[in-house]
Amino acid sequence: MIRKKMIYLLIVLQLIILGGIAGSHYITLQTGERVTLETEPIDPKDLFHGDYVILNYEISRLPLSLWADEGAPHYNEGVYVVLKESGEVYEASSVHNNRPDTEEGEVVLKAIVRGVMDHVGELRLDYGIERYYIEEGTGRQIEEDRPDRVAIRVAPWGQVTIEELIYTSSE
Amino acid sequence: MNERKWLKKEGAKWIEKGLIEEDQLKGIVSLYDKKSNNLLPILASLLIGLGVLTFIASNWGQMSDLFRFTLICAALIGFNLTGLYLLDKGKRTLGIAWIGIGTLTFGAGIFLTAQIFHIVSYSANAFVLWTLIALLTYFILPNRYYYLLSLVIGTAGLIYSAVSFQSFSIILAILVVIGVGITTLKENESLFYHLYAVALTITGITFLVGYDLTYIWMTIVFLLIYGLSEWIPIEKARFAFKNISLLGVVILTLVHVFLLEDMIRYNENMMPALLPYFLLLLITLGFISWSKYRRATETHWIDLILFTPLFLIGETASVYYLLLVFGYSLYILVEGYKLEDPTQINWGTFLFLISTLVAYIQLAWDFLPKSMFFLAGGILLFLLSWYLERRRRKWVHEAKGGQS
Repeated sequence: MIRKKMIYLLIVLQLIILGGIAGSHYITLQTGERVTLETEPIDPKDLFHGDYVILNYEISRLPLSLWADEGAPHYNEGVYVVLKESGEVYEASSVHNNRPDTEEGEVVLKAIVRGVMDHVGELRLDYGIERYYIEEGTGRQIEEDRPDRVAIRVAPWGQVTIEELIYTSSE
Repeated sequence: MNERKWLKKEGAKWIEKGLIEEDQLKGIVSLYDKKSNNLLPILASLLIGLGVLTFIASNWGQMSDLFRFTLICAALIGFNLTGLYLLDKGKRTLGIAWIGIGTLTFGAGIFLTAQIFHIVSYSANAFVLWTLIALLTYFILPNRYYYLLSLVIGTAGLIYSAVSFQSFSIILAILVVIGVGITTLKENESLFYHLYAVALTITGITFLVGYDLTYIWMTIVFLLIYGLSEWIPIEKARFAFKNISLLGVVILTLVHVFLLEDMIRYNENMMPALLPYFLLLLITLGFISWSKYRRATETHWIDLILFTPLFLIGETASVYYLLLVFGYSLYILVEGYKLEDPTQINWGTFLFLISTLVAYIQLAWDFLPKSMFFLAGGILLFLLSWYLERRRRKWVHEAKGGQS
């Protein structure tokens, strides 16, 4: 009967893990700081790849000059990007090796270095918010509407979740 | 064959011979009545399950997030509890199957939850959790299905993170190498040792991909697996690890034959960092030699020449690699005939045919017109295989004591 109890425990463990993933993102959406980011227009060739849209942010390609630490960033390395509020949207102000302290009107996003383009002085980054899952067959609509901004929520513990796509150009 | 049918058929003979009476046969047959289980309920539940699944899949988009999440959790609980109930009823296989589906649902649940919140995880974390749950399920209910489940999920996770974002998850690797390793020892089956050795090879490959190292390092990976085969005191495991590591290093040598020349010519950075490479090579070789020396029987010292770092020679190394694998396969073949060991003769024949094929492709491709190339190659292989097969049959026949 010990085995039966163990299986019950295992079921509970699985539910806790799933609940943890869902719950933390739900709380992020409810309580996190709302940050609006510029995106480049959606590339239609990515659109029908699956049931999601690929989002290219302005902050996905940053000038290498924003690198604030010693040495250089490495491929596949985790870095921290400081975003500063600038009008309606947030823009990157510096990139760090370790989580920096922030001032009022700043947030920090964790990113993974996807490429260091020395010859063009560019840093390519992924934030884990590059996909927006959509209902099958609605991709065409999103492509036509051309969302150019994305609202995300940043939790105090650094978690990031997409809240919505914003359309300003089509209005 | 169906037991009842068999009993009835054989039973008739027994009655004929006067071994048993007709009533006794009926009695015996009736003992097996209950075993003829009814498949209809299983088919029915399968159909209903499929119906529910397609309904959910086609309406997934319209459901609210909360409802979707509740559905995932409900499925998870439902599969597991059904499995538990069936186990209680003594239906072990069925129960294990349902709990297994529960484990699969958990994995699917992680990805579906991620989709609800538009998460892209650039890591193998989902697979770490999934493998962990599969392993825990195995330890609670040890059986071969959960063993295979954890092996496949773990390895798939390593491959996924290597292919999708060129990264290597150390935690997942530990789960596969140590976690699945322990369960392999518990299962203690020849096939599973082979599968585990393949999983180790894949772990090695994904490690090289993740840390952007040249494929030449695979020699060390296979040498380590070879070392493992020397170290582990279980005969079945020894055999499996040796098989996979030798097969691997032979394939690697053939890859060298095709790639090495061009790679050295056009890409100077493809050499491994020599100090760590040789340190690992020498330490492992040292250990293997010591182990072979100590055991002093069935040592197969010759295996070690396959791990020679011939790439140091430079562009011409591919020719030497070809000669190496030729020499090795000839030695194995001759030695096999000498020892009259059918397994070794088969292995040697296979190696010899493959290396001949590779040598032929490598040497003749540029010089012969293409149609001649295939024609001549086919004839060459035919003759070779005919000759080797004849030799092999003769020896295998004699090895079995001349009976056919």
